[in-house]
Amino acid sequence: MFDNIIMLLPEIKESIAQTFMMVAISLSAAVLFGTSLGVYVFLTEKGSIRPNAVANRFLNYTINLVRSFPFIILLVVLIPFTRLVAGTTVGPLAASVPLSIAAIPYFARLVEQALKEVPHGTIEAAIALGAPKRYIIKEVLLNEARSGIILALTVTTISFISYSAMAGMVGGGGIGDLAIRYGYYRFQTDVMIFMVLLLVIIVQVVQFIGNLLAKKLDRRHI
Amino acid sequence: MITLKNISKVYKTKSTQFEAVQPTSITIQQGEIFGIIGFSGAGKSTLLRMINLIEPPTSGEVWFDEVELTDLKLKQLQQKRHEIGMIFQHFNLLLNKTVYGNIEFALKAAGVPKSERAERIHHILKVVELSDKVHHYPAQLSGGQKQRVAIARALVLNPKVLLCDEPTSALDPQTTENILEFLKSINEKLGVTLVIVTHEMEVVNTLCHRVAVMEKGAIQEELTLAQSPTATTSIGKLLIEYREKENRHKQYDIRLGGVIHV
Repeated sequence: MFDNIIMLLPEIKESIAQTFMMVAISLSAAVLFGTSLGVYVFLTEKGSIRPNAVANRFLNYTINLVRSFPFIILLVVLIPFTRLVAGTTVGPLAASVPLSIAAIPYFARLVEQALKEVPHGTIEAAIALGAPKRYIIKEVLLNEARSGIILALTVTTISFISYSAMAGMVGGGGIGDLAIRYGYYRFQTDVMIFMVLLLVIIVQVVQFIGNLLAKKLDRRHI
Repeated sequence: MITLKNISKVYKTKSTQFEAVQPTSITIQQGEIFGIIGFSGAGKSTLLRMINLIEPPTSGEVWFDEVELTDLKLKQLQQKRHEIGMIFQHFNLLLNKTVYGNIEFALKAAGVPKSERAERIHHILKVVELSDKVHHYPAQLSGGQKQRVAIARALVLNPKVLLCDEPTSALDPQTTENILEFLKSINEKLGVTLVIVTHEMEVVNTLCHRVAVMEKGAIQEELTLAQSPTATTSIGKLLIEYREKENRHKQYDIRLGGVIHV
């Protein structure tokens, strides 16, 4: 009954590793660059603490532009860029390039939204204290919005576990890709079900941890 | 100490413009408690917020201690803001930081080295009588306690002035009284100049030496309360009336107290 699955175990193990690698790389890019991008968009907004209409509009358009692409098309469009950065266009490392490009604006937008939840009065109090911008960003914005940012990261993680399935297009591999190649194309329904179940479990766990962490970090209510 | 020269604030949208504060000039003396009273929408908060420029004025000058704040670069303005404390109606504390963390934020903002911070925080918590709440989060405190944390956060930088934006409007009458007494003692013991925006007669009556009555974005009159002034505005008249009534009550209470003692 589980013959197909048992035979594929080495591939399954590898696919899990590939998914983890792709998600880890794109999330790192998202946290590293997406956070600053989100903060910058928030700061440059009209009525915020460093209003800059030109920069704000440009960044908003750019974020929207990248986010408009169906991921599979972005993957293809970015092939030359991927070759430039990763030296190849196949494999999980190569797939991580378009995944990262997609993850940065995705996370940036969610960070921006989380920052908007910080009451304006709190920011104002920090300005009135004469706090320099870097303290306002670190200790007021990011710290007050930390639960929201953790939840944003959770959503991003889950989306990109799912996106990474499409990376199979460029030989990226991963859990979703295995489900498509064996389960769907080769009619091994048991493999497909198994892989989907695996994804269900991973997503549940990620969401559980995200919720737990967000709640633990939130001191805004008793 | 603080001089506002022809300061104004105009909010513009594409089609309309709204003059929140008409060109206004006031001078606030060192050591005094200056009140700004008026109905909501009179522009009194905007006026207060222009003193430390968290609301940039459309025109006019703000002078603080012989320095024109409106002429400073951002970095210099930030330095000056360490000398101008501010508290708010809704306290505006950092909710993800403890009482300690909130006060420490002020010290970090002013570049106070880590080695000095703990001592100053514990000292100021003693002043506001919250030493036992040092590791509590704001959500675990009452309104009056939150406002005292906010006062501690402002006072820890030893400001010359404390700007108070409706400091007791979110508090119950008893807590209000407590906070007002506390603000009074800050003024008397530490010599901190207070500028208080309020719509509560009680606040003005308990604390203020001088009060400006604001209506429709302009100061209609300034009253020096110790000189039993005659008011011309309706709010001013109400205030004087309230004051006389309260003073009569006070005398009556004292007399009554005496009788009971005998």
